[in-house]
Amino acid sequence: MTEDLRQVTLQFAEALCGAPEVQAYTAARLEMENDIATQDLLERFHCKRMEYQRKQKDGSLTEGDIAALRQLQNEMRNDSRLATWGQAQQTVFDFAQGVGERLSERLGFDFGAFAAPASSGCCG
Amino acid sequence: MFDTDTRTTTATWETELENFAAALSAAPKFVEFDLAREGLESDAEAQRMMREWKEAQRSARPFAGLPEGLSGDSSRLRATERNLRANPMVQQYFTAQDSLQALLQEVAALISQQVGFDFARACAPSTGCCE
Repeated sequence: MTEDLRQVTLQFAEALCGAPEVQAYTAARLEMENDIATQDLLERFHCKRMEYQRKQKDGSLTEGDIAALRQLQNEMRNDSRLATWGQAQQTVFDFAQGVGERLSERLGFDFGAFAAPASSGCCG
Repeated sequence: MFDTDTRTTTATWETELENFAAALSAAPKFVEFDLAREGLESDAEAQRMMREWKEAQRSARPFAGLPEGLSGDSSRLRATERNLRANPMVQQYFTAQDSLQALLQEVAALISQQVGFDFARACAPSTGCCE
């Protein structure tokens, strides 16, 4: 990438950061990341899910394990910071999709499909 | 006050989008891709092969993931893809496309770093890209 293109890209990214949707998403993400209780809940869920998958594989899964994982899922659903972050993420993705559509119109091809790393590689 | 701020911000990213799109359009990799696309679109033989390949893809899709013997049109798909990739105009197009894609992925990664989420994935269509 040339230095000129890099500079124009950074200016565009900076302008995107000023959009209310991106600002709301950043604030919600920082709140979630800095909240000890939410981070603890996420860590407990992660550990329990690993344990669940391990026990499912070796056949030692119990009703208690299933109930414990469901309990943590419920706690996550009721966590206000996670809910706010989830809503902000959906909003910022809708916004980004609109930006992508406008870029695609301007460039004459689908920007998102071209710029996303080719994990599925469905187009050959 | 809030409305005014919002309008100002919106105008700013829209203006910067125009500058960004103009800079991308002027990049040599974009120009090469545009030329390769025009070449492909004006080549009747390449167009016929592309249509055949897409048709073979559609026919093979319901059988994706099934064992070889049950996979119906998969051999036709492979044959049309071989023919397609042997065409110089198509080769030129795919090379230019790969090159542009690499540039766009680099650009999108830079944007993602700044905005704090995967920008390319967020603006990619959720449906398949082959239609």
